[in-house]
Amino acid sequence: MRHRADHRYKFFATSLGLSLCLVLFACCTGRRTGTAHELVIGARADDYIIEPLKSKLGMYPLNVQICEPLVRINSDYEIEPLLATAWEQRGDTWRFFLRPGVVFSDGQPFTSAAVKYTFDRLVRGDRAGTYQHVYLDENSVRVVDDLTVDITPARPNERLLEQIGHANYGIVAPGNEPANAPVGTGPFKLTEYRRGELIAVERNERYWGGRAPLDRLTFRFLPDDTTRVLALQAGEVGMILDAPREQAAALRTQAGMRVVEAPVGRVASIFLNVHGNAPHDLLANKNVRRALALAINRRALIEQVWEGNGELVAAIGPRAMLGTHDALIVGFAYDPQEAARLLTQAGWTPGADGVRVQGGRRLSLTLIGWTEFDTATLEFVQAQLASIGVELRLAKSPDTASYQARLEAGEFDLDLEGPNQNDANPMFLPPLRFYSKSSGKTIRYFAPGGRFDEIIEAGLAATTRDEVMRRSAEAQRLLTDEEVIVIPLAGLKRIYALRADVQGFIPHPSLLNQRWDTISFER
Amino acid sequence: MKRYLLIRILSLIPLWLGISVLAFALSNLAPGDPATVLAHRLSDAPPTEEQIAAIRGQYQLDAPLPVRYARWLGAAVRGDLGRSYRTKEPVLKELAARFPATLQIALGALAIALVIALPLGVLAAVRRGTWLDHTARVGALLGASVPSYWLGYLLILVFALGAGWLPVAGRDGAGAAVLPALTLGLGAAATLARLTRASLLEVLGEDFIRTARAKGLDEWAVVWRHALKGALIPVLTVTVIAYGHLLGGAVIVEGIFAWPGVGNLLVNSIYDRDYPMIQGFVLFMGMIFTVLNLVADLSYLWIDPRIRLAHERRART
Repeated sequence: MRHRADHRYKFFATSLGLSLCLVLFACCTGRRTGTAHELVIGARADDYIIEPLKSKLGMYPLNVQICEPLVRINSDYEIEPLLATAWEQRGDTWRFFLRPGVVFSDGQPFTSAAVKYTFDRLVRGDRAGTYQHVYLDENSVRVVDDLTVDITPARPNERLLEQIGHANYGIVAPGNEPANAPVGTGPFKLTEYRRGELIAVERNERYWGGRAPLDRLTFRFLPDDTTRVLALQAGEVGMILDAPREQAAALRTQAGMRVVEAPVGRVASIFLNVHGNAPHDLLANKNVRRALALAINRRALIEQVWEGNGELVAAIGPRAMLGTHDALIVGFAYDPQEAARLLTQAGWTPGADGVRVQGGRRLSLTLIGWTEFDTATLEFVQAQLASIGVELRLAKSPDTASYQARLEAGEFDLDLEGPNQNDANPMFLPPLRFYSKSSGKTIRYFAPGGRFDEIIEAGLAATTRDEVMRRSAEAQRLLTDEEVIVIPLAGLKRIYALRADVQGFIPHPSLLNQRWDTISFER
Repeated sequence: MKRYLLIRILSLIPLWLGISVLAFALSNLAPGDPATVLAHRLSDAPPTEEQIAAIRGQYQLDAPLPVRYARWLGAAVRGDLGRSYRTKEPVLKELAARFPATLQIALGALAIALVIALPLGVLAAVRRGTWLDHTARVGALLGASVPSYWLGYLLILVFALGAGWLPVAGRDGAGAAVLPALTLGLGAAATLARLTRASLLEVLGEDFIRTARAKGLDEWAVVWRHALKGALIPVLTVTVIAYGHLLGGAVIVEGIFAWPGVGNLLVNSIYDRDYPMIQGFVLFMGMIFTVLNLVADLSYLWIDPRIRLAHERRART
């Protein structure tokens, strides 16, 4: 019996030893390190869709420049030629003249057949109506000749050119399914994709444009903010995207590090539920809405909560989208006394606990926030509104799904968001959430209707960029200054942290349009 | 004995059924609609109610909950846990692809926990009341109290940033598994060390130990050859159960270290309300946990002849 028992303990010890061996074995796998001409970049979570027909691997939401659209959006949100060198509009049809001498990374020539294949693929995979707002269907793209292609949307679309610079419209080689491995004409080609871990690209030696200085780029997905910073500090990555703003100041002072801020590409704004059902119907009164707008000290938010990583703005999107017309939007000065006066005028008087009441009802509102906004931001708004006698209940959602559920059910009064401007269409943001004929279940809580819809329709039909910018500014003025359906808080700056020897990085306000082929190492 | 084994194995079936109900209910009753999430993911513009309804129909999310549960369970019994809403891949394939990574750090964590806990527990028991015992107990208390995310960052600061010995995150690179395994293992080590100490102290007070000492055996032989064998029985049981906890605890650690295991997969699936994946994960891990519990119970029979003989006697009468 003793003999058997000894065997059991030996077995136990052996198992333990084996476990240790396994760990040691794991330690012996080859280490991926950046070479002299390789840059490793720490990115947020991998959010690529890899379903066939739907996949935008390498394109969206992180564009690693494998594929290129017909036109490029520069950092001023202006359209520049890319795979199309010129274009013209003939009635409802857009004619694109394609760049000659371009080949895909697999050697296939780039012709109008590739454009047709790409757009037809997008339309075929359009089960959820992805291309509805671009109005493309299976008859939209017509090959004229090898280097000329006509695009006729199913209904007139004056904004098409501004929309198709978006990375979603990156051209893939005929027959290519990006879910497997995207083949494009861009400065890089895919070498490796490991879901949730990394996407790696190397220089496309067949690229028609300038040769990318770096041989290889590896984007490692490091969803945890702190881990991303630590990986940079440890030298595992040479650059990180979306450096947390609370750590930006410390990184700035660290030797061998640089922190770069992109121009404002989106604006943190509070959307007000003006058509809510009880108990979320308190913001039907414009004076109450105006009081909220006047009670928030945006400068203090930027300086004290966001550590300076923001910009005072009056519009709901990047200033570049409005050209010279941004002056049409005045915005709100910080004036808590006036805010208090407006509430009193609206019949809300201070109650025993300081919260205003009217007819036995407390001025109590619910704020929901897009998941990326931290509790400190929500609490700041809460404290500011408390100073004028408005009680704000915070309903921070743990994830996007629960946030969307609450938003779509109308269980909120205020909604803090920061929508991105990723294309060059000045008429993208205003109709997105406020045009009564737009898709989406939340339109009913925000849409002002009437004159706003007329402005949007005029903007969508405008034939000059200046005209569409003016219409966009008018629409935004109505949403903010006039109707107070949106309270812009501040422009958000995307923060990048990089090693000092990483040169040539020019931050774009929209990450989706960020170029990586300009980056090099200092000699 | 065989009858006992059979009963224990059969008792897993209602347990797994209960887990399947919980797995299904927990994912389906959480706020948020997978059809809406999917529609938003696949669309640049806010999706219409019709588009969301179409997706709901496509994934049969419009059927009543009991019907959906019955369908899912029926398929699960046949080994089909469905397909992920997000990737369209079979859930089992996704779990199989990610599980080895989680297994790797969980095994490493277990090894680390035992290597630390057993000597520490024995030393604390043998030197009871001394500074060594107090230090070991305080250490164990700290290990059990420190949150894993804090410990994870601390270990990165010391071993990756400070010493430069180990990588910060990811599965590539020399020693990539060490920090996640250490983060997981230190918490388990604390529990096992305290248990080893308590168990050994109990055995050291028994008559056969006094006899061994009276026979003139040196203290080393008394502790390591006689006392520890008996003391390790509960430790081994708890170790097997702790392994299940380590697999589950990997969820947080994998997030910190960007470790591509099932924990990260679960978190992303929850964000996307990927019901088949969440249900599959909970069922899969629940089954592993219950099997480990069974193994722990059976290990008593295997290791301790007194328990085995008692069972055999009961079976004969």
